[in-house]
Amino acid sequence: MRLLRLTVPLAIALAGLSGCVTVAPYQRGLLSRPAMSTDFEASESGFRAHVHDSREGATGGYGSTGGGCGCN
Amino acid sequence: MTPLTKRRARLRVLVIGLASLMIGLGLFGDDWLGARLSADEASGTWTGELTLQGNYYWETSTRVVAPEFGVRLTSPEGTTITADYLVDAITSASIAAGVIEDIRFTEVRNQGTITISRELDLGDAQLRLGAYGRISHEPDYLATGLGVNATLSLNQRSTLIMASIGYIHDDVGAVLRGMNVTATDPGGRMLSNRGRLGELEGVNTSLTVQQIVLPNLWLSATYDLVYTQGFLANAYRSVMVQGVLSPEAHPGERTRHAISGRLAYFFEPTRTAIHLMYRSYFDDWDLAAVNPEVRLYQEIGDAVTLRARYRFYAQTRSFFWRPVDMFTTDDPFVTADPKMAAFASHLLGFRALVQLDFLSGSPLSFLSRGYFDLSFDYLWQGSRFGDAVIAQSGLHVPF
Repeated sequence: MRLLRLTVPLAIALAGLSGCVTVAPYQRGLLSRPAMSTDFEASESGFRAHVHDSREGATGGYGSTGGGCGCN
Repeated sequence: MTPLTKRRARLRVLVIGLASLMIGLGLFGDDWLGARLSADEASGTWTGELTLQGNYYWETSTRVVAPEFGVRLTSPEGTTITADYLVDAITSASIAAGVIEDIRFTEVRNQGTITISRELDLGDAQLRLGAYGRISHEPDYLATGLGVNATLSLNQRSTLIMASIGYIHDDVGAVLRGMNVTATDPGGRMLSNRGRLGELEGVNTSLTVQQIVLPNLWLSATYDLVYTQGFLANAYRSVMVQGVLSPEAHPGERTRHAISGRLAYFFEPTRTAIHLMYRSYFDDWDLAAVNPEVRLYQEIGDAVTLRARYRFYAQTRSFFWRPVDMFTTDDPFVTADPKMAAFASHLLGFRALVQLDFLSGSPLSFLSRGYFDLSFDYLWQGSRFGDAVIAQSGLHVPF
């Protein structure tokens, strides 16, 4: 229930945004730069997620990985 | 067959069936539900990217060196296939998990991941369907995973809605100083019968909405649900229970929830970007966590982007955690897992990314469309694991 209380308003807000905001492809030059695109961080995220999963009680949110007894 | 076993079998069939459907669509689905292909078939060429990645982790009791190789291929028809192979060389892996007796050893973990996806043009929207498979093997652990995902793009790709579901199955074992641990399950499969202690199964689902709000601002929100059941303890850890050393015993089921968000903003006059991230987590072991993070990016010239990041993590303890020597024989669950205690940690990191355009015209011009990155993070961990260092470097070459 705690999560629902957080999720529902956020989902409604995002759904509202998604219905009315269109940024044309030619306007997205800034978004493709390394400072703004997550594509440039994708290759580092798997190992980091594995490290955090095996050292912290939480998981998820930014991708998580299975594999390895360290996760237990 | 028990109701739980039936449910698991149905779920396994569902995920495997969906994955087969996705793979079929990716390889052979030229036309699906009347959809048109979005890829430009005119060029008839395959494109892709090669990635070489080095990963390093160091803490008091553990060293991990993990080279990684990845390739991404996109066919002229628009099917994208990725393959990734990683080798973990882990020194003293299980002492670091909190065991009492110091057994120092090195083991190697091999992991391979394959994904396939294909985008379908639905007119005003695009739908990308994908599937993945993963296997990770080490002498005492075999982990397998299979899943499917879908991404719906709306508003000229200003809005992305991503959903995924995956199934995992792990075989858990223990190998101690070359001795054979008595197997409780004689059908120990390829993990070797000498040390198989149990298995773990799980389902993970995820839903993400990402929205471009302005030409220099985007945000995203994700909800993750993970359910696991089976052998959820660590095979090597022991707990002192009223003077007697006992194997760790955790509950057999766990349901985990995480909600996270990210906001990215680019300030053009100074060519600076800021990313604000936040994750909230809780599970049915009464463990809850918060995890804010801020990343600052600064462009230097045309080729270099620097990043500084600060990550904070804090969690509560699980309902069955106790201080050392406080467990009694009446406790149904006992743990020596540092991850079950309350603690906080701080991470401070730096990264430099260099785009290799300047190599154009040189003998290394084949790298000129790629980039190189190098990062170093220091982690102050309030848990028994102690402080740690994460270092990574990568070379990415599109073709």
